Amino acid sequence: MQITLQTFGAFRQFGRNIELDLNDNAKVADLRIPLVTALAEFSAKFDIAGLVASSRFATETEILDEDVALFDGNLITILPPVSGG
Amino acid sequence: MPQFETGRIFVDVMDVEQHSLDAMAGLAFVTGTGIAVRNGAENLFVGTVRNHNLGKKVLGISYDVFEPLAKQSFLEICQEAQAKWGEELDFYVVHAKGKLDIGGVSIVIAVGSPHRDEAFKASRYVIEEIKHRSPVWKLEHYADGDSEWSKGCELCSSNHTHEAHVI
Repeated sequence: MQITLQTFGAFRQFGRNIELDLNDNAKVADLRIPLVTALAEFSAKFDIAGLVASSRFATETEILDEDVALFDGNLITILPPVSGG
Repeated sequence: MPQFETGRIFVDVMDVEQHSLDAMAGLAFVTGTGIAVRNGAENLFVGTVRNHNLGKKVLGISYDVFEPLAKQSFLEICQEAQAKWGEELDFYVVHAKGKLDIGGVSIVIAVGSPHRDEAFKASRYVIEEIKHRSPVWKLEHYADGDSEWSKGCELCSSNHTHEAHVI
């Protein structure tokens, strides 16, 4: 299935959106490894694996648990550690 | 015993390259006017961009915000504060989006309450929860020409149900 990740914060420097191909029946937790792979070209300069591990995934209305099912065409937002105020 | 009406809540994200945040608008919202004044205490918190961080000279900060979820988090945090310190409390929360120079206002939180203790506590709760939970990010711009995203707080687990799916 095809998932579009909308980026914010530290992920902005890798593009506004990142397209990922996942297996059928993938869950939110299954976004992490393909995302690290997709950003491998930046790993010499950035701790991509650490940034992905410390991030959460969300829709416009909620932060998603890791075992939530994904569907083809979903638009998911990645939320790195926050620093508002 | 007097019957209190439920307090009002206003939350927003403002593009500061279009409009500056207005602390006095927040104060006015939670104070009310004329015979509508029912609060005896208004607490105003204003966050501004300072000229240094972790030993580096800062020239400004760009704020990135996931608006729909940020506004929802502001609303939920204010409702939690009402549950803790009084359903009659009024709240005004506006966060900046975009680039601010030194001294620019990044957040305005105003709380109106019948009594000061609840106003102070609720205001502190709202800013601390926003810092830990709301999807907002700072890109600091330094005097040496470099820019860096703040390290920030990892988001905690949600109360999302296991049965829910992404639509």
